[in-house]
Amino acid sequence: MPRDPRPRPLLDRRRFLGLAGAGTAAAATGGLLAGCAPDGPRPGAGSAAAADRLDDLIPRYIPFEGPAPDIPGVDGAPDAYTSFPRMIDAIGGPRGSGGSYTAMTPLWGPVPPGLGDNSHYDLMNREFGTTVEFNFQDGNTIIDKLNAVIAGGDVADVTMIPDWLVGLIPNFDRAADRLFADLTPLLAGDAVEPYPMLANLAGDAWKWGVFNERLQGVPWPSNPFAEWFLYRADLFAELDLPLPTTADEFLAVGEEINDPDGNRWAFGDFYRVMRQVFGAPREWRYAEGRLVHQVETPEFAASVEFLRRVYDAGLVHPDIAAGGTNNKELLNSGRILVDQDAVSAITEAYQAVLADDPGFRLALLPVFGHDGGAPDMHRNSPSEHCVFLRKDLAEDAQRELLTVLDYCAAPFGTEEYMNYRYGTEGEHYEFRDGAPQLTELGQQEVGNGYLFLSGRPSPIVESQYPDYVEPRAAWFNDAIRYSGEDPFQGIRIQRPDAYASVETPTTDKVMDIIRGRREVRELEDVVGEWRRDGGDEGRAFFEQVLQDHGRD
Amino acid sequence: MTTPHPRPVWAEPPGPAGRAGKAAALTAIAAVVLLPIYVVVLTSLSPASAVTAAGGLVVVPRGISFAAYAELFAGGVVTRAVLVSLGVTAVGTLVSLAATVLAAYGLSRPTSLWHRPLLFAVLLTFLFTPGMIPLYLLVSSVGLIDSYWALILPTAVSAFNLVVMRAFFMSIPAEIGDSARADGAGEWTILARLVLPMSKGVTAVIGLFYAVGYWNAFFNAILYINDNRMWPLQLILRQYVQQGGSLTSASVVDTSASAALPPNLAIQMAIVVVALVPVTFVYPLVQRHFTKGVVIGAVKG
Repeated sequence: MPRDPRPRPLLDRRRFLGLAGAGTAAAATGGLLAGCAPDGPRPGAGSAAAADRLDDLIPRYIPFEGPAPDIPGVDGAPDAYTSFPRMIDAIGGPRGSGGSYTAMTPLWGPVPPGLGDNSHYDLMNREFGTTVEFNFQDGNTIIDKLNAVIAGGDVADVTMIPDWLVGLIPNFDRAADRLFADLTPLLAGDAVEPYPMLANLAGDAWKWGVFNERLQGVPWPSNPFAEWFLYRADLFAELDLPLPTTADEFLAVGEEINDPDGNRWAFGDFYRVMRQVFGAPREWRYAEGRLVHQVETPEFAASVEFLRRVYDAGLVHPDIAAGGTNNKELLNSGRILVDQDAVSAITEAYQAVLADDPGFRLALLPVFGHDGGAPDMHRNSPSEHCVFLRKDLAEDAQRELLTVLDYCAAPFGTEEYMNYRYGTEGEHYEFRDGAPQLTELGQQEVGNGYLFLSGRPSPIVESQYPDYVEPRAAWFNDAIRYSGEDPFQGIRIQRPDAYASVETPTTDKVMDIIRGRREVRELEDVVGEWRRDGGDEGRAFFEQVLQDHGRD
Repeated sequence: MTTPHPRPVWAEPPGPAGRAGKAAALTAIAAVVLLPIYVVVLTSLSPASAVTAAGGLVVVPRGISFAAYAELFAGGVVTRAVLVSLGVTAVGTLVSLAATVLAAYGLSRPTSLWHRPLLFAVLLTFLFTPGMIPLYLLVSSVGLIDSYWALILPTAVSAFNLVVMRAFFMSIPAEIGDSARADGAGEWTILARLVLPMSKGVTAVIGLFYAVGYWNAFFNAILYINDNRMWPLQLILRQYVQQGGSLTSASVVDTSASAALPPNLAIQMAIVVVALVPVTFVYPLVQRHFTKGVVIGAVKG
């Protein structure tokens, strides 16, 4: 019987450990499908149309005039609202024609009661004028399910695929061509006008939904940064600690915090963030006609060396040093004071802890570079996921579903947003501390499903939390200035197998060095092995992609 | 004067030190087993504040709360899944036992039709398992997607259990069957009236293997069941466990005030308890057959 071959991913999901899954997923499932593709992915093989061609394929951008943000985001940083504005009705009445459709999306967390037992679903289906039945999939094993349904060709009417999984599905382009609808005629250019909320999504994100030189996926525009240092601002204040502005100060602060006898350590893990501090590129750097990979850069080596010093100084909590994944609990309980996590983890922590400990404060460490200069902040891909419609649906059905997707793209500040996100006021949620709080019924019945049927801008709005909105908005507006150069920005690339599968072993070896199981000088050997086992192959492939896109 | 009964050295009763040593070792082993269970149960019964204060699993009790269990069973989703799992386990175990007993009996008669090629085919499945995708395609093509049978039929017969049971049947002297046949009994009668009553132990053990397998299975449901209302308990529980580590789209979805509260460790541990209970309940009932059933299959195989 097949079993899930992978350990439960914890912090990963994104690109890095997403790729870690690639090897095992390919071993478990790809073997068969790989047989269909002896030549593997080819540069520019429909993965991405050249940038100029993409402009004709995406919808015209028609910004939605919602409530004005209190703190506008600059250069792609998210807007921020310091209080909940008056919500406006953006769409009006139901637009569906009574059809009934299935939607497969991942779900992280408990499954809400199904259609017929769920008043939130009833509300939404009334609002749509269309019945949507969710087939939720466990977010961490959806890759297996996707591989199966794609091979079997029986996809749901609406399928959401997280972006970090697209690259793990063998020959995704071909599958998309065979199974998913071409939305270009329905959405490109002015055709988007009947769907004003979809027209409000950023062009870069739409370009991410282009496969086979056709617009196929509806995107969720991502915020620019995914991860950074989180620190316990309350304990920093209590201990009167300065905020570090260089790597050396960072180490010094750690020394000051560290108190193993008092059951307090300075740090959790920040392997992925520290290399940004040292200025290593996100993946490739293009210089003098040649691509240099992150692991080959002196900045990366310096960050590894620095992390080793951190470990050697005993500043990392022993649970984490032993490969544990309880960093959230350690941070929340003050056993560690600084950790790397998703920038959104702060709200999770506030939700879990603030009620018991009103003084609890978690914040993003101000952006800094190792020498006090500029770090290289790694940007997210432009879109979090793609939502696809089934290819053999009639055009009327596709249009009806697009009204559903359009509804679910309604941004913060609209009544529609409140409906799909929180339900009916007084029934599923009520305002407390100026922010919506789910009632008991809401907690049982309202799920994240509708968020996954479409995308929408994601401003900073959690004004119910103390010291939250303004610092966070300021952090994004600051960090955006240090966005790293990425020669492949905006190009969707399906990575060659050898290159993708060398990533996990390399990461493991680097972790061995950082955690003191190998010597720092062995990093050179590790990079050599990386080159030999797929790195150089990847370089050739990526250089070809650069040429194909005229960026060389 | 009596001569001491000659016995080998290792059969001497241990001295006081030996006994104390054994007691200590056994206590330590028992503690290694029981301590995690204690921590799991205690954490599941701890209020959120105690979990936060402990920075993880709770070892020293600080208040008792049933909130985790209340939240788990609110909304009816978990209760429904318990029923699904019980149903699948009960029906599945019956189907599996019936199929395994019949196949094992047939394969244990050296004269039965195509006995060797069939046995060979069964043994082959030890070496070559079908991949996930072919299995899915098969289940899909016979129309079992979104059917409870998809949770049972693909795993209905385990080659291992079949071989163990066949070995047991072969250990029953052929003369018993011959004499029954002389009295006019057919194969069905021999199986039902003679062979099965002599094989209670192995049947119970293999039934337990199957039942535990069905109870714990979740991957079949991931693949074959789209309708969330048909999900078995293990899959529903998995969803609870995963949220902690999830973060969908970490950069954009903040879970605050949306969806259900992220289940804390207490709920995750409550889930472990819920999943453990039935198995803990059934094991003692079957245990006395356990050693006998397995050893017989093993030795005579």
